[in-house]
Amino acid sequence: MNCEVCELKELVVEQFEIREVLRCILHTIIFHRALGLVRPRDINCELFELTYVQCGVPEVEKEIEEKITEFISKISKHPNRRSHQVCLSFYETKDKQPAWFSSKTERVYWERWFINLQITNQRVNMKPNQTKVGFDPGEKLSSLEEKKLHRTALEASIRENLFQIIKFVNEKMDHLPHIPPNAEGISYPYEITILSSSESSLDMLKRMLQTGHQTTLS
Amino acid sequence: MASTQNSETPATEQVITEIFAKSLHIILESRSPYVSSRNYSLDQIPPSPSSSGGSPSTQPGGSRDKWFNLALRECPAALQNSDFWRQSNLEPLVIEILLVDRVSGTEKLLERWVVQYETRKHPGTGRKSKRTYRGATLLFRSLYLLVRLLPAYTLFREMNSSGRIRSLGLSHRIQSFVNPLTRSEEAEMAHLCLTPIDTPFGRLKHSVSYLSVVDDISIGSELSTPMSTELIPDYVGSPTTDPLKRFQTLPLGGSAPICVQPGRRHSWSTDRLGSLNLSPCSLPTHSDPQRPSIPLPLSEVQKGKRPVGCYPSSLSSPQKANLFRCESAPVSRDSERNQLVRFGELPSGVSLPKEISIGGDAIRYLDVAKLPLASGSCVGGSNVQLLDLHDSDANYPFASDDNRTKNYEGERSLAAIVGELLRMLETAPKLQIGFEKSDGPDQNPNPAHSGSRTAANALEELRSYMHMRDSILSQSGSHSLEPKPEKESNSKGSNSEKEMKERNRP
Repeated sequence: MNCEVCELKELVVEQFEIREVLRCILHTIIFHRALGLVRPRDINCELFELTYVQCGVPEVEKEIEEKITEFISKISKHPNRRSHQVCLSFYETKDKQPAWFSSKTERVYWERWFINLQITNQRVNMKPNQTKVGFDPGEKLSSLEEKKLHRTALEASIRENLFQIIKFVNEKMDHLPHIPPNAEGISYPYEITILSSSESSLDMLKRMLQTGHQTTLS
Repeated sequence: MASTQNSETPATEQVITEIFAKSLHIILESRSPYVSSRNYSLDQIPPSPSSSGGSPSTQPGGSRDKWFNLALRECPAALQNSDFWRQSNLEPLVIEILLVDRVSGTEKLLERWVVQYETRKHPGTGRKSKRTYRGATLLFRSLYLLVRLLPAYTLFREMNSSGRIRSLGLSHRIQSFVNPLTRSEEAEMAHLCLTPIDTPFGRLKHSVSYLSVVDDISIGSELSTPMSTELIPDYVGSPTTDPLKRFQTLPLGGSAPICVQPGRRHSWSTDRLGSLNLSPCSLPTHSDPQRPSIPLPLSEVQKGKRPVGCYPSSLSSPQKANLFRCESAPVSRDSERNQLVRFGELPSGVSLPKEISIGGDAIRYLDVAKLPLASGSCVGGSNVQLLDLHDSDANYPFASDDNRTKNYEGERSLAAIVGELLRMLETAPKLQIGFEKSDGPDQNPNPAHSGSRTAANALEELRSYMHMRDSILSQSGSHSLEPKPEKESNSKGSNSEKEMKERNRP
């Protein structure tokens, strides 16, 4: 079975935007892969003029929130690293020959999504006098304009990511496993992993193919 | 059940039919504000779906909304039009989303969705109905998201956010044929096609042509197009519209805001109100050259920027002042009477000043009894009608206290009287000509030069004019004057001067 990989376009986000951006992307992908009966929920972004769709399964929402919290805490420990990746993988569980000290089942990944984020913190780049009360209004105006430009650009990038998702799921369907009957909500098991910036997605794929084992990096 | 030309199996036919229905449902659910406002909340939906699963047709009741494993809310608009395309699956389903201006009745095409079944040239190479169903399931996930990513959804959201009836609204039109787009529509619209759903003997295609930019239309609060910031010089209460304020802040060499043609009533009369063209101004379209905007003839005014019924800002100053005067400032009886007084029209009991000519320019003091009520004079012309300063019945600022008790209606403040007098003095022709010929009178420069005027300045000016008048009267004596003793008028003038002085004293 082929493992289709989709590398989404990198998003330049600020610290406080990470949660909303990851919610939007992760929920959109899972909604497209939750092929059981779902009742979609429209979520209007607070930071952006965007509406994305959740599959309406509470467990999915909970897991995504936990993973996002984990991601934020990890990147805070590495403030010097700017590029980070979140990987959403769909897999099948297959039985394998039992062996000593090994599990009886293995995960076979048939689709992986890589969400690329570049974390910026504009406050770090602020001049010292901007924190004072009497700073130049012109500088304040320029920083507001910069934030507005950043927000607009990020919103456009998120839209581009969403259209990229739509295009990918519409073009590649043959690799999808059979949908179990009477499936409700999530039809395929998935996992969300956080990649370190030192390891690229390609390296991770190579390791996965070589070992055939699921590895969770943290 | 609608049938296709080729021999699709009944199961496939049903799937195809439901694909059309689901497409209509998904699109109209997110484009029909009336419908969406009446949808029940998700909390009312049972948390777990029916256990039978699979195709909704096998479920008890066979609820359509669960087809393709996508449970949707009710959409009456879709149900009303569901029979339209049931005639034949071979006919395309064309859904046009329109932006409608309820005031003008104009429509603007925002989106055109086309769902079309095409038979396969080589039958037998298609997929089975099960795979058709799965393909449709995947497609509708994307379609559900896509309708929310397109710009028209923003309008839909804004319209749904408020229950007010707006002048702009979203409408839809369902057809079984595709009208060719105009050149302008082709130019400003983008196109998207989803991956076709294969059937055993054909395939279903979903495509959309949509207006890529609708940002120029703000629906949030009856907006038309965003207005650029403008400075409104003739705002309500500004010196150019309010004579009282004008007296306080006089521009250098300023002309009267109102120009009354001879024979016409002044601009503040109620008769003139109805004849004015008060249609809202056409707002400039704020368009980005790189992003086309929707050129709708909208008549709404942006909320918060200008009140409804804004006034054009590009009129000539006299008319502009007229409009603002009539629409913004309340036409009170006092102000109207002030103008009547200004132009020599006084109610009974008040007489106009006499007529005096100075050189080639005539300053006329006329008796109100001899004037028709509707008469007026050109303020900017050579004839200026002034108040009769020596009439005992006149309510002049310089008159004695006894006369001030006689008012037209209510009370006229001193500032109002002085303001009118000052305006008359300002609009009077320059007295340099007269000054050259006359001897004696103080050659007062044109009083209407200073930026701010006080009562003292007006008094001085009046005094100068009185001196001038006296000198002229003493010299010529051939001017037509009312047979009133000069002493009496002079005394009144002096009384008025004393009065002004007393008032000016702190």
